[in-house]
Amino acid sequence: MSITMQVEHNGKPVSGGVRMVVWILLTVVACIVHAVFGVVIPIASSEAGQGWTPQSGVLSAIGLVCLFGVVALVAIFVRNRRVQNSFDVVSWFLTVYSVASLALLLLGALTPASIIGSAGIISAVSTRILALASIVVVVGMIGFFVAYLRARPTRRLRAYLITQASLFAVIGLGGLLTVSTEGGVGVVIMATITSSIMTVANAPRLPWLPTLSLDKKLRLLWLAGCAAFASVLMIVVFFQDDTVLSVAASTLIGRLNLVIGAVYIIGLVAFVRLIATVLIALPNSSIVDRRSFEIESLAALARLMAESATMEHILARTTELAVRVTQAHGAWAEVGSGDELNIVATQHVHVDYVRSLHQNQLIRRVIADASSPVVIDSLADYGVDTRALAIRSMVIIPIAVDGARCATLVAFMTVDFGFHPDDHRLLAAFGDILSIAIEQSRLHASVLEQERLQKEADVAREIQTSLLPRLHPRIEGIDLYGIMVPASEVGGDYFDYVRFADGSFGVVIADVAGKGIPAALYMATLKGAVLAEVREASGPADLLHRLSLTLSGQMDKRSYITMSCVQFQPSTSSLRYARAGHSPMIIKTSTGVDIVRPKGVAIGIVPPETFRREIEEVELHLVDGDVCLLTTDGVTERRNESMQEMGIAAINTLLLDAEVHSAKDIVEQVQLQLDHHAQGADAHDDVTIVAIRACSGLSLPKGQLE
Amino acid sequence: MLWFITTQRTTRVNTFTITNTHHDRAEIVHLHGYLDAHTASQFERDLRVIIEQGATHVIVDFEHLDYISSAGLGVFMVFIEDIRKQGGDILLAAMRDNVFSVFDLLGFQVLFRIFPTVDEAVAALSNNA
Repeated sequence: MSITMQVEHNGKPVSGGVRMVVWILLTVVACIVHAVFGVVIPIASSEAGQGWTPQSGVLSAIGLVCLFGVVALVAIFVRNRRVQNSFDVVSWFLTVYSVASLALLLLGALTPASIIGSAGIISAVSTRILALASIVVVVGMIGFFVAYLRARPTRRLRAYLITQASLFAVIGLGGLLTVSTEGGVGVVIMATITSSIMTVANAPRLPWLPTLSLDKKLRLLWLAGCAAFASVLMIVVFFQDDTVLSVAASTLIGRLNLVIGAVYIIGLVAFVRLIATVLIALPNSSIVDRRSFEIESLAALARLMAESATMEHILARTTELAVRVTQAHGAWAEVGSGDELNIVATQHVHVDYVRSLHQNQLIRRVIADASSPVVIDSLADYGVDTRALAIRSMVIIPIAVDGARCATLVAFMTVDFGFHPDDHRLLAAFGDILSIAIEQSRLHASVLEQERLQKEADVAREIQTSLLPRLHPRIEGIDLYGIMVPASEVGGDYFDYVRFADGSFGVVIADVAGKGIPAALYMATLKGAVLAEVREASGPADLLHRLSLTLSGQMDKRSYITMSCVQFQPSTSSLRYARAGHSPMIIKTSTGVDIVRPKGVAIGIVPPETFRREIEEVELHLVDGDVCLLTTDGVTERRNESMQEMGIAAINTLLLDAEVHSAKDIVEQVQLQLDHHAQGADAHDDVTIVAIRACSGLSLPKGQLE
Repeated sequence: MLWFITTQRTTRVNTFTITNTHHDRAEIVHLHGYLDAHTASQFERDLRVIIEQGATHVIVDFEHLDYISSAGLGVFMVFIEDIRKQGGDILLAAMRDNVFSVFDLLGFQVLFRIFPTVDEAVAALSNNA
């Protein structure tokens, strides 16, 4: 081995090829010496010396070639492979070493002692195989140690390796000396002790050891124990001259077999030190395990938050984590209280049991009263009769969002003082994270809901505006203008210009009860019905009746439509008007303002026959400048900040005072009045205004109002 | 669980409550506050419970109702057909002017009997019997 080391380290400036040549030369020389003389190295081995034959010399030479080959392979491995200082590598090595050593011991024990040392080819071959195996294990072990040390090179590493190699050389020489002088044994012992002390002193630190979990530490302890045990057996075997393995080794390397024993001693020291290190690190294992699990579980909770999962999912996961971290005997998460108590998640405990616990007044109160995380070391302190209950100690974590309690996490133990103060702190941290997670999931839900509502409102408005007329018809003698201003939430207002069966023009204005998309869809249905029915209708009342017939049974029970209809009849210079529960028409003539309110029931609240019986139609004769105003209830019910409705009186006054020149004027003035009243308050309903103004070209006799 | 996730989007300024008293011939339902799109579903739920509990004659007392919207009106139409098929009726009573005008404008008088006071509604029931 000393040769190996020196070649390795002195070979630094030497190139790979030269080193190989040197190595091969060394091998050849050693083989020749071994084969021819057989006595140079096994000088002390009387058996080998006596039994030396040309065959055994050749066999020894072959064995030596193999040995050199193994050493070369190990050296290449040490040079090229980076061995990591980690639990996996160390435990792998301990396993391989223990298995190999114990297998070798078994082989040695099974080989009959008579074979070793006796003449014959079988004996010679098996002896050398055993010897080679022993040396391979040792060389492998040394190789691993070197590679392991080189993984974290220190400044002293080279000096240390050279010293150790020299010590092995000394041990070897001491072994040779034992043949002639007694002092050889002393040299071997001294060198071995020195080497062992150096090994202990220079043993690399194991930075990963304290952070190992308990079961890994125990595994390491077990493996190191096995390795130490194997080493002890090997030492016993190799320091006795008459064991099969030591005899076999001495046939190949003579008294150098003491080096093998020394290596095992040093290995034993290293393993014992490892065991001691692991044992020292063992007591903090539970703390390490705990801390690592705490970090893991907090990270898991954080991930959960990022998923924006549902409330139940978050609570279920947290309950699971709480039990695993605190080693609690059970836990549950609950929401609500009293009759609305909902056990969302349980761990190691049945929902019914939790419910039965809630039957206990005292426990219920203890849980309900907890305004911050609470540890109850002994329920008996609270006057709870624990004889009938399995639960003795609890941690109660109330979870509050926006200051309001929304859930409770409870962990329990079946023993008094079951919870560590750390458990309390950790569960409290869980509670904090939970409340953030729940708040986030709520926010997420509410944002989604708002987006959905906004989308719905947009769709409804699109439907509504697509249904309104885009052009205002030009009718002889009539100035006509209408607008619809949608509220933020579509209110179901609709107006349209129509043409009756006899070719006369008309206006319809309607308000569908309801809001949003349902209202918009009813409007669409209504428009379709109006377009279909108006072609057949003779007048406003007839149209409304036809609509009530068409739509009867088509609408939700809660829904109804109010509608007004006006028909212009240029031939008689009049207009006809009917109303189905709709806001009445306001009319301004030279004599003043009047409200025209014929009888009529909203569409959809009574059967068509009743509707027909109830509806009235009036005929109005207008003169130039007379104004008729049709609105929806969004106008009269327009509110300001103090919730006051504008009312119909304001419109009456407006119409009386206003100087108007066109239908558009009127609509704009009503709008201005609305804005003035509302003072910036949001409109809760659509606003529709249709103005009809009789203009020149029509000569109507005065005062013919009904 | 849904109550948990859904948030109160609208701050509700107006409240609506319903109480009911039992009369030997009818269940009298008293409405308080604002009956609008937000409270109509609550009203519908409560009224359904009262009717499913076996009330055939229901008198709705509007005395303390401040406001009614179209959605609130729709609730009465949900039950009237079925309750009349079973020989019962819904009578409306003691409306304030603003509430009455809404019913009146829509022509609800054709569908419902509306009385100035609860007593008159009760008396009308007794006369029928």
